[in-house]
Amino acid sequence: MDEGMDTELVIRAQHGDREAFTRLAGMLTARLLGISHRILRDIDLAEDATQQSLVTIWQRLPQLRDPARFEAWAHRLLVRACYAEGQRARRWASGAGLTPGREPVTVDELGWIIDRDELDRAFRRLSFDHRTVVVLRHYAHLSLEELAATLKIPVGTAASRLHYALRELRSAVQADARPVQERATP
Amino acid sequence: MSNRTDEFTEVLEVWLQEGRSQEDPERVLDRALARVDATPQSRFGWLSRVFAFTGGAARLTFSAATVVAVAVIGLALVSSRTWLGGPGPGTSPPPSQPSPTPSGPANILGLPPEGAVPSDPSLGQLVLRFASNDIPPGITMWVYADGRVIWSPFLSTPAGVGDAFTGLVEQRLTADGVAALLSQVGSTGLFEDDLVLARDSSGGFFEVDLRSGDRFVRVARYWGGLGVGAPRATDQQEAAIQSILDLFNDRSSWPASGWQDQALSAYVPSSYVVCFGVRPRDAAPGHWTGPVEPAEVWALLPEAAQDLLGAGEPVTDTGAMHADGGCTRVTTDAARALARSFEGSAVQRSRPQSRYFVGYVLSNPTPAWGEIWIQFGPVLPDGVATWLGGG
Repeated sequence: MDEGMDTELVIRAQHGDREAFTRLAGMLTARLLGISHRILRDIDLAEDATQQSLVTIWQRLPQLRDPARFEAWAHRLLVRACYAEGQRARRWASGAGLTPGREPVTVDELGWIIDRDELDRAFRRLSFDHRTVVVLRHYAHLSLEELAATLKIPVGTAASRLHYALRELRSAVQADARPVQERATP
Repeated sequence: MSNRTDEFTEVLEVWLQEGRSQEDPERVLDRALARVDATPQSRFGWLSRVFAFTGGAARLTFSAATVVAVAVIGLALVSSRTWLGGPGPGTSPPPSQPSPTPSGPANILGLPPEGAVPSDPSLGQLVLRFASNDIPPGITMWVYADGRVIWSPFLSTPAGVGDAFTGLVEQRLTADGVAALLSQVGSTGLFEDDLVLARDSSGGFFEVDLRSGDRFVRVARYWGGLGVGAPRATDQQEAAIQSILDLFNDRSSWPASGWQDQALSAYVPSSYVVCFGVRPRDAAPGHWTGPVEPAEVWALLPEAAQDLLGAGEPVTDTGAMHADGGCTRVTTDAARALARSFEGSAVQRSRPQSRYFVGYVLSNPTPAWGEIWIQFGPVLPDGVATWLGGG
């Protein structure tokens, strides 16, 4: 649990204390929005999913057995809200991406240019589950154990899901990108 | 190789950090808190769930189903005068047992087939509920302000209702028909206030809930159990109860002008409530853990089921459904997809031949849990699920 996310605040919110919940939500929202934005790749969908997850967190707080697990539980509800929002909108494939730009992010040692659009296209091709593990691990920086706890899956499953997600993402980027030499050749 | 992976990951993480300028968490927080102000917390404790049924349709359907279940089991075991159609003297012939409709690969027995049109509109105001097993084989009927009359013919399949029938049928009254029915019931003089009466000989139960403003007035008569301590019905009250029984027993006597559509059609719900419970491995059948974090259960189901349940809406008013673990509401399409996701998995249909009961069991899912049960209940227009587990 985050340092600021103290258990007492969670317990107070569980008992219906709106002020405690407002403080908790204030600490959480930016993080939840960041995660949902990256999973859904659409700021409007992300706002809706985050908003819904905050309402669901409030509604279901009394059912949370272990307040110390609040953050993982909140992330889990967010992931569900993202899934529902994505299903509802069905706009993943055509929605607006993040910051547009053609400049390359980097050039790796094999000479593959990876630009933002390529990464964005490749990421959009991932399944919802794969997007989720990539974002939770490489954006939210959850450990594998935290990732597994959040998704309620075994650690081994989390590790393999992440492995396959990255492999698929990398393959998609490579399929999309062309070697520097090819690009340089008219 | 590891360098390549590391570099790719590094690029990925840089890319994932982008886009923050589009994010306005304050706006999202403000909107969410505005909704929170109008949203009660749901408290899933078993006792709070039971005692939450203090009024309204939830209490009505819950108690009705409980009584029906008790009556079915008790009468079937103890008495020859059973409305299940036992061979005792004085009983009606046993209702016809439905033969399962051959279902195509896309259909799930007990759920409306693909393409079945849900009852319209999806929501309606309940104005009267009648339930009794004094009319063999027993009947529960819900009447809505928009004219819909939905009822459960228990174990029998009325002719002509079609393949979409899954235990409930629908007819439609006109607005005048609804008003006349309510007036006739109300004019018995029984509905001044809630009234529980006892009958002094064994027999069925009788319950009527009649809307009065924003609440229901219940008149009930029980033998044994629920009737213990209640006053015995006077002759006048017995006569009034009998007149209501006659009214509902002979619906053909209702004026033709009161019907908008008297033909029976299958009631197709817009949504289902899916409830689950967990039995610890060392617990006796019927003993459950009580509330369980839904995600703990869903994680043990096929992935497609997890997604469907995750996209559902948590339900606090569980109506007549057994809700030991918790309940979630899904669309009828999602309910069908959920049932389909169980096919070929370790999640087994409880009564594969039942047209009325859609339930599943997953045996020994964890070292601690002996069983997870999952049951589907059709949601009525008043938004509350009912339970058709009798057949």
